[in-house]
Amino acid sequence: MKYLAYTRCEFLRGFRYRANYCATLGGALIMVVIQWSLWTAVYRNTGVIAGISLGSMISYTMMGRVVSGFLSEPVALPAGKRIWSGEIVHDLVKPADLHFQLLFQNLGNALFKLVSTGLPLLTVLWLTGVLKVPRLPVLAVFVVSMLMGYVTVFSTSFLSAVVTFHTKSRVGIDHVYTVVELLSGMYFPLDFFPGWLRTVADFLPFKSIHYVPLGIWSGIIAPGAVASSLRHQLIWTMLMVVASRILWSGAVRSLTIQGG
Amino acid sequence: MVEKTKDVARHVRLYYWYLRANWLSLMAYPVPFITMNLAGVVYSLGSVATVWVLFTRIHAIGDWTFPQVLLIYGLSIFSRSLFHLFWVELMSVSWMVRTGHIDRLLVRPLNPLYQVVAGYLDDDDWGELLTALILIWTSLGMLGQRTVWNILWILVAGISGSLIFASMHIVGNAMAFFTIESSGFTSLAWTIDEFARYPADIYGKGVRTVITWVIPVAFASFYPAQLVFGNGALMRMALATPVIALMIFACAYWFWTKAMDCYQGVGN
Amino acid sequence: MNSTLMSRRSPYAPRPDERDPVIVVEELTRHYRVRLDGERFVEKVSRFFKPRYRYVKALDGVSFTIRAGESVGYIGLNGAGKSTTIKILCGVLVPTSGIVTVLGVEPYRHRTRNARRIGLMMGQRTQLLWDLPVRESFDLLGRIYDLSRETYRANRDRLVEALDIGDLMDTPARMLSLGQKTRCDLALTFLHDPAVVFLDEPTIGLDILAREKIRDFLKAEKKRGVTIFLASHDLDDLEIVTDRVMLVHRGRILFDGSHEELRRVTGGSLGILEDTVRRFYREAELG
Ligand SMILES: Nc1ncnc2c1ncn2[C@@H]1O[C@H](COP(=O)(O)OP(=O)(O)OP(=O)(O)O)[C@@H](O)[C@H]1O
Ligand SMILES: [Mg+2]
Repeated sequence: MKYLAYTRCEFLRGFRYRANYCATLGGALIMVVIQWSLWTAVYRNTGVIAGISLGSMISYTMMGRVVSGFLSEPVALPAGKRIWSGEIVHDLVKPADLHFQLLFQNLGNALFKLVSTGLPLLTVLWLTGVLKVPRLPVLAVFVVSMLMGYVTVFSTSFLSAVVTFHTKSRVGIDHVYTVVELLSGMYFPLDFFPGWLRTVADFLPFKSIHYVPLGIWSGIIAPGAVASSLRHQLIWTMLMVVASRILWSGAVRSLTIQGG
Repeated sequence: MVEKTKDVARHVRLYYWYLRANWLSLMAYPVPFITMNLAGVVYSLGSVATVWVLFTRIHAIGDWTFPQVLLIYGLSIFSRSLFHLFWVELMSVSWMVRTGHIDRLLVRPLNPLYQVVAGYLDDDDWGELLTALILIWTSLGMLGQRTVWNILWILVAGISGSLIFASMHIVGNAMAFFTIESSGFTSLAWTIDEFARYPADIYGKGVRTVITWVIPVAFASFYPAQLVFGNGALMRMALATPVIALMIFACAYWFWTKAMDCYQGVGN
Repeated sequence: MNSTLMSRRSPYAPRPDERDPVIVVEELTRHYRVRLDGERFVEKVSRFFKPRYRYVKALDGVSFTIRAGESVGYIGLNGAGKSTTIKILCGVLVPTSGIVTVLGVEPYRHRTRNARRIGLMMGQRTQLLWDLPVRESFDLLGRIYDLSRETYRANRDRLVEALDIGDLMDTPARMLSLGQKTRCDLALTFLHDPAVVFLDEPTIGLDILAREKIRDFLKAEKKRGVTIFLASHDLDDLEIVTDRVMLVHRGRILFDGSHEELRRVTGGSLGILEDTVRRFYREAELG
């Protein structure tokens, strides 16, 4: 598939900056130390918080650090009308669809982060006994769920970027990203939320970014609830991709017909 | 010496004119300015909500009570927001080096670091400052410590803390002079800041030593807070905060000048 | 410096070669380190762990002296080393080896002191405050260079008049055309009365009329005694503004002399500088 060439290219680009990479790895290790120390200290006084034991919590947050690069906010998406117009023109003269091109390009970048930072981290955490790798079926479900998480995180930013094109606004999702982070379960599982917030978060697509994959990995999502979580992910992923397509072709049409 | 003083005075005087130009530039786009700041408030509400949700579930971290943890957290956000508001343009050093814009700053009779920092005023991070003030005010109330002295001390601590954060980021971004691409170092500096959010004694002995004496981020929140808690054992450490901040800043600045000497420039 | 300027205006002005040297460059070299990227997949990944470098000799033993009030053109093909030279003379880059002094000091050691006395303009890279009226850029720059109110007013008004930018002063810089921006930039470069001015392709991308205006302005500044160092691909610029050319090729100076001498060396009765230079290049490539 021709789009995989974009993935490969972006993946290799990561290898250009060695010193930069060492810094990234250092930062990832620091986050592991902070999160591990924090949760250990928090659980010193209690056994269970919101129905979650220390073991599951460590498993959730540590694995969260391993995949955080893979599931982080895509940075290279164009935002703002002028840049979009330029990109769209570029797209129109190339035999590749910009939407998919960006999706796969960004996948290359995310994979680089996963391989270069996530895997070493996982190895270290596994060797030190902090993380236990779950059984194979769970692992397989986790990987599928994580991939859907990737499509969600990408689509969130992509949709926001296309919307800024239509509304001519400069404010995009990245300016309110803390809300997405909270609702996605990046800092702690959604089980911590008070009832009403949990209801909101359960409805929104963002929980499929971190909460569902990590919940499956750590067992915080009970085996019985895995199927419905995956269904939630699948429905939202498809909805977001379809919405992206529609708004995207709208942007192309508005540019070619009305000149932007 | 007289020369030096005069030079510093000149830089301080010019800062007003830079601020003015920055402010006018922001006002050239009033609508985005307002929407960006509204978004900034939502952004900060997002972080406040995160803290709030966390603390509805956990009531202590290690040996620290909820109000104490809140003050430490608030102080770290306070220092960080002061740093953020006035030093944000540090993050563009890598871009300036890549595009050669840094050359312009080097041919002017002003300190280049000063020019980088003075050249831009952050337009959307006033919400973070507000968040910090709310957290600090609330926690001081819970601790029964809303005294004038404490508030003055928190101001000193915040400024010192912002200098400590600035030092971290000066070093991180100065790496752009060696490596061109420095986003890894920039984000490393952001990550190191995170140490300041929680009480420093939750970390193991090695880490604690490092964040106290090598990369002294613990002085951006944990130690200054001890003065408010009246914690006898750590009081002396608390009072050392401004001194430590100035020392680390001097080191960072020295590193910056060395890094600039290595700067190659880009072809054009 | 001042005494030199004064004496130049007297009827007994010294001959050019007796004036004070302003720029002295001896055996200047500058190398750039460039990282080599692998071509194949494996190579790219393995060079991540063990990088390889190549050194580009951008300048390879350059020597020249420029005296007060001279106006020198600096020509060369793309990548010949022109911008590198200018950056070193401005104190932006540190030389790899060799001696460089500008107005008696080494620029990279005393960058700030040097900065007060020189002006630099890089074509297509504006120093205007993007969102603000042009006037604001003048104000800020006047303050940065510590000009007294009178000096500032006098210089600004003179430059505004000379470059005909009075109507643009209240327009935000982002709304100006390239030619208008260039003229404003040029005025800013001369605002603090620099003794030496470095111009790196100032007329790049401009139309004939705009070029003419800029050349006239530079000629007038030259008459005022400013030393001009002009790197350009536009040979008409050089012919009109400068009275000496240096031709740099692959980091070495191939020729240094007047326009007439250049023509003589290439043995042509060719009247146009451009043809002469072209011939010179051809010979250099062959030899
Ligand atoms: N930052 C850099 N890193 C690596 N090589 C560089 C760098 N800057 C310049 N070079 C190389 O040094 C040589 C001289 O470049 P320089 O920019 O001085 O040329 P120039 O004469 O100004 O060319 P042009 O007419 O295209 O502006 C070129 O071979 C260029 O590739
Ligand atoms: Mg050049």
